[in-house]
Amino acid sequence: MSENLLEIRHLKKYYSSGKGQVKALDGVDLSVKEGELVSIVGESGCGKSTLARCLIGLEKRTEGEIWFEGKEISGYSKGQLRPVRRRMQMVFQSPYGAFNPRHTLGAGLNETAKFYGLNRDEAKERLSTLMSYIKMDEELLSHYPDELSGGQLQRLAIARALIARPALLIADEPVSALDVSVQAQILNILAEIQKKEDMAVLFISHDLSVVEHISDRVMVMYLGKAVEEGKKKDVFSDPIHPYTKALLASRPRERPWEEPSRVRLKGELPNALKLPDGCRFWPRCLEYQAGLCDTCEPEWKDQGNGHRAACSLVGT
Amino acid sequence: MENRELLRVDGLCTDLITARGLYHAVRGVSLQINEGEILGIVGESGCGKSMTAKSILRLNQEDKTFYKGAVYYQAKDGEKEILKLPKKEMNLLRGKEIAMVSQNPMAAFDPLYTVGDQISEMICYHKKIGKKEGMEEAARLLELVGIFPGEKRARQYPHEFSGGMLQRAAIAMMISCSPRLLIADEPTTALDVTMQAQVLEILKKLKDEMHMSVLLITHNFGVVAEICSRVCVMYAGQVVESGTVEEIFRDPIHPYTRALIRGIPRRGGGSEPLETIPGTPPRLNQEIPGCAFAPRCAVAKESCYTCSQEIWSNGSHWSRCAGAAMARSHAEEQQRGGRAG
Amino acid sequence: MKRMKRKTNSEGTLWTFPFILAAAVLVIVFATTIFAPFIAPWDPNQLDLRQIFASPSPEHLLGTDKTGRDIFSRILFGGRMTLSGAFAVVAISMILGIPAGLFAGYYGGKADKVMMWVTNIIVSFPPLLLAFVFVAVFGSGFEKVVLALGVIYVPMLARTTRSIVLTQRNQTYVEAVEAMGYGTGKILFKHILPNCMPTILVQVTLDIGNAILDLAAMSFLGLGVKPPVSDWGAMLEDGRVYLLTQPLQALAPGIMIVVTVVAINVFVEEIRKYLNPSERRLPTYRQLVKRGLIAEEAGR
Repeated sequence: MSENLLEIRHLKKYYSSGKGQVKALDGVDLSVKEGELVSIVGESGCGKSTLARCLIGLEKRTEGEIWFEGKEISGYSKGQLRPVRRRMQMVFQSPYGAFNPRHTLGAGLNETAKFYGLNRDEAKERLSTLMSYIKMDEELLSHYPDELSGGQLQRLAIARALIARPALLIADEPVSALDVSVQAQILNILAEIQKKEDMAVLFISHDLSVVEHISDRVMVMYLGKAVEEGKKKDVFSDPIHPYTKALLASRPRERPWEEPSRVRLKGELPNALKLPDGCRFWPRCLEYQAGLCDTCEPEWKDQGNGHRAACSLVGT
Repeated sequence: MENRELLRVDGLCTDLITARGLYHAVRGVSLQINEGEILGIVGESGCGKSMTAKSILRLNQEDKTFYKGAVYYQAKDGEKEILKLPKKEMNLLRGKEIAMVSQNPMAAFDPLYTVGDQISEMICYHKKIGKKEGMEEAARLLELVGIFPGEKRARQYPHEFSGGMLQRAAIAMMISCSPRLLIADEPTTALDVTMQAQVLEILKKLKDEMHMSVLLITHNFGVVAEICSRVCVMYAGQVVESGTVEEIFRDPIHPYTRALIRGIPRRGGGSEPLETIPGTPPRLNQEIPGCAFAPRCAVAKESCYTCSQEIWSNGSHWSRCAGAAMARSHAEEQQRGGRAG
Repeated sequence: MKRMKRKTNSEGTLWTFPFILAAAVLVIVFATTIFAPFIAPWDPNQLDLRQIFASPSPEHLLGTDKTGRDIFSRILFGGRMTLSGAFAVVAISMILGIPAGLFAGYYGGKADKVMMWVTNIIVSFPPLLLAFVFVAVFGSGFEKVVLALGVIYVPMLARTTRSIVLTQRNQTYVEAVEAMGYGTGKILFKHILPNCMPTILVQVTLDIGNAILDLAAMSFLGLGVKPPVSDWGAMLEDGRVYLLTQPLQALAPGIMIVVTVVAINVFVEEIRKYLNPSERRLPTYRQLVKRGLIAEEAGR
């Protein structure tokens, strides 16, 4: 395989319900290089969490390939996945439920260390390094989860994910359940650890400001498909896809004296069982052209520099 | 008409009984909402912002809650002290004069009845009109909050609505009796950005077109910047700073406000570390002598821990930390002096 | 256990009056039956035809029965049978029911559907009726009745376990250990089961009460213990004939059954309330002042 740490090709995940098929992921491509921080951003229901869960193996993908460290892992069994999981870890949205409420935090972290084959001394050393990364006192490890705050627990969840020195950390909305000041702590810690440990991070969030702050590269998703991808600067300062533009314009003003934005996305997300033909975004799109958008599936158009978007209108 | 006071909270303290003793959820909050303005209360979880709202409507379990202070409401028939109002009159006030929208729109609706039924039930109860007129009114209200076609949508059940639509429907229900004050407790927290923009637009519309006052509770400074005219920043059950939106964003005085605003990632900024606040908020089951923020404050002096803070105020701008204001003007003076020299 | 203690210390509301009373009753009942050989003044099966239907006296605390056996001693030894039988019933149901519920709840899918289907059928019959069928097929006797009831209790417990597992399996901590690649056995028994245990134990304790009643009913109908051995159900049946002339004959075992079962139910109810904080009763302002948690203020 190439130099990419993670490469996803045409990943699909369909759920069948009584009324039909929900295409939670419908052919997503993504690559993450070593030591890179890539964000996936989109509204709820766009499939960003499903993508994370397929990667880590909590869900089985319907179709497509997942190449990780040169191996195709999408068809792996649970036993085959075990060595892979040392290299790929995940942090979840809710810090409150992330630890077994019946074990002390130290017991939980030590169990993980033991599971990944660290002996007692190694575990102790690793834990104390990690505790200094997350700027927490080791004394807190003797407490139970319900005695700590959400921010503290989320930091410990990050520490737990890092015990086995993974090459890729998947962070699924790690700050959306937290307060503003705590959110800043977590973001700082994530950025710092990413540099120190030289690992790649796949950061999933619906919060555009957070994504803009932390990422190297960004992928925007809408209804199970990627619509735009590129370097952070390119996507945020020069969005191509109408959805990205609308998403950026929906953000509230940052400062009250700024000019309010007039762009408003109309309508609602379409029913997941009856997706529109052609581009999935056309019923809500402000630049919609009849006969083009609602008939042909948009193709990826590269703007150079790795900045590309899936919109039929680009370049016309 | 512009600056007439509608609601005034005066030294409100709310103490709750818990198994471990009294919990001082609100510790002396004073604020004022004028007619036709949106007042934002910002703060982090546990700072008492929701409890302040609940106290204004007296929605806490009566025998396990103690209020001190007063809440004055300018009703059409004269001033009323909400905390001393008999239960019956309070019920009339709720919904008809003061309405509340909560974070979870699902909680506002019973899944067994159509949305229109529930909105019209509220109208019929307060306005004493027939069922048919109630349904028509419900359809009109749904269209007012941007849910089309109102008549068809009114006949649908809550599960047929998306989260953002349901939140707008909840607002429609709450404004059905044209209350003069709408309390919105984190109305957009559970919503996506695009839905959030729609809900905020409706709140703005209510203020502009119906001259409704809104008390908006949120933890999101973006939401505040977007629609509020004035802001109260709360910490540990107290208002630590208040002023117009411009004042708070341009010139935050209290160290807490400043740290909060600096902790938000800036657009177009680099990935340099954000400013954080060390430590955690204090537990509110004890009396706190001095400034509650002192243990986490970067500029706290010894006296901050023990003495109550001097209050700084400058017209509409008000802060619980006079020390920070003085230090700042001192620094400014020095700068000016340096430049002159 | 350490955890339980920590909680009681900080928010100790478990030690309510009903809880203490029920616990005391249970301790007395269990202690006296366990130590029956040391406490009982007479051999429970020793006939004494000169002392038929003796009234209560210092010698025979609760009098004697139709063959002159000491009722007090028989109550103690009968309780041994009833209580050990009830524990055996519950033990059997736990060994089979908890793993079944765990696997069904965790894996879901077809196995779960089949299990729920079977469970719903079994649960829709009264347990006693099923026990009769069992006895009709395999014959009567105390061990067989215990085994039958144990098996009959399995679906109920499995269903309870399954429903708690369902609430736990979507918790983030379970997903986290899954994502880390832990084996299923470790996830089920080390992480999920301990978190389900409080609720399961509540159900199990309640089942002990039910088992006492069902066992007594079976013995009452003559399908359980065989004479001369006796349990509370069989004693009730023995005394039934003399209810009008010698009421103590039936009343003594009857009261023991009722008191024990009620005590178990109260005990469980209090624990359940304690484990479910929303049902925990908050102290009043007066009580807080009394406990010294707050200083009294005028005007309240």
